[in-house]
Amino acid sequence: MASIPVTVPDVWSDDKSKEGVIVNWFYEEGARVAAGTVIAEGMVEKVNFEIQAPASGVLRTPAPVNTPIVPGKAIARIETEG
Amino acid sequence: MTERKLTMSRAIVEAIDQEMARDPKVFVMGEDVGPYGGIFGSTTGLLQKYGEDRVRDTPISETAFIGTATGAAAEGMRPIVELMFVDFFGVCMDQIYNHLAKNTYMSGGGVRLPVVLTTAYGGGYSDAAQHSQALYGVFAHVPGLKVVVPSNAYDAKGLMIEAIRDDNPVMYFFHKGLMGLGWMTSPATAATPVPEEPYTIPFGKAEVKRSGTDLTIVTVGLMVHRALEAAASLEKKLSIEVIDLRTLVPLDRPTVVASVKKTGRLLVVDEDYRSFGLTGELAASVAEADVPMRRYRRLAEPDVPIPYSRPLEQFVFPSAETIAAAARAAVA
Repeated sequence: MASIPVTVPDVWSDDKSKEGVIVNWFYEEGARVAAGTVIAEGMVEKVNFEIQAPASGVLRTPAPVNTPIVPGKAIARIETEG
Repeated sequence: MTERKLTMSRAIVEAIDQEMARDPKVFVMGEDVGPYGGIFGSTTGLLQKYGEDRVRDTPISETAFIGTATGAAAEGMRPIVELMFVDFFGVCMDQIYNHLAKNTYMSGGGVRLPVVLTTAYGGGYSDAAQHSQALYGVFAHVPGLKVVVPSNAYDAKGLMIEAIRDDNPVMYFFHKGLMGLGWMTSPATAATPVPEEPYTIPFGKAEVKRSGTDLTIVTVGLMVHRALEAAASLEKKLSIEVIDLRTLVPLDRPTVVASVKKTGRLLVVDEDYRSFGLTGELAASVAEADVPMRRYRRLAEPDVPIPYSRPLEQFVFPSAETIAAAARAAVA
């Protein structure tokens, strides 16, 4: 079993220091998700973007909605099987 | 895989996407529906998937593009056309009221107009008197338009697919504060589990969201969430039934009448203006059904322009607190 971090994709314009936020989770703690599924939505400078599951497995410890984010920040983990 | 929850905006997009994939006659038109994806997220990603022929950004000329939708529908297409804010209806009212709503009648049934006219309504975010109105009563008033006002993601998808497949004009109102946008907080209950496969919800079927025996609260859209919050806050003292109409045309009078028959008391909550609207229509409907009503009350926008000032704006819209106070007074 491996634990893979869900990280915020870099959709930022030049200024990477601007903070975004987590806007929505489409799955809850403990949900089974497939790799590539859109599991959350972030927002930076009033523009929403999608956050995908990096692997298939169980979603663990999603950071709460409104948590500030920057590119690369880990906001949850995916527990994979095997 | 586990049940996923969608925001209302994503549920609407999924419905449109599935219908566009199923039927090549379905296309989308409006201001900023293309690369922007709809300013309230009602068309996000559709341009990338279907291209510029089927997802068309239009100039700021509502008369032109709503008229185009009516014409395209008469020729056999199934347009979804977005009026960015319902407040902008003034510049295209002849197209909506006299053409879209009436041309099927005027042609003796010879012309079908399967248009879905989507539009954003509602306030609560300091956008002032010309960008915050509800106004669905204006469109429910004229014969020839169906009027849909979903309150949550599940209903939004089913009602959108029903609207697209309907051969008549449908106005589809979505509250900006239900869409799940990052910059405008939605009630947590607006995002719901949504099945991935297409499904429809028939028009004219209200949903009893919570059953009760002391008082019936009837409302629609965002106010469903406020009413449920109010009912929950009073549950130790009062048993309140909450009805979500889901569509205003057709209007599910039988469900409202049956509820008032049981409770004897009706409180109608409305984000639209108080006079000549939903609140009075429901009072008349219950009276005409000869149902004894011990108490009738209404809580609506009090016939004033919606203020820009946040405290004044909060004052004019019903809230969970003012609904609870009105409910207590209605039963006292």
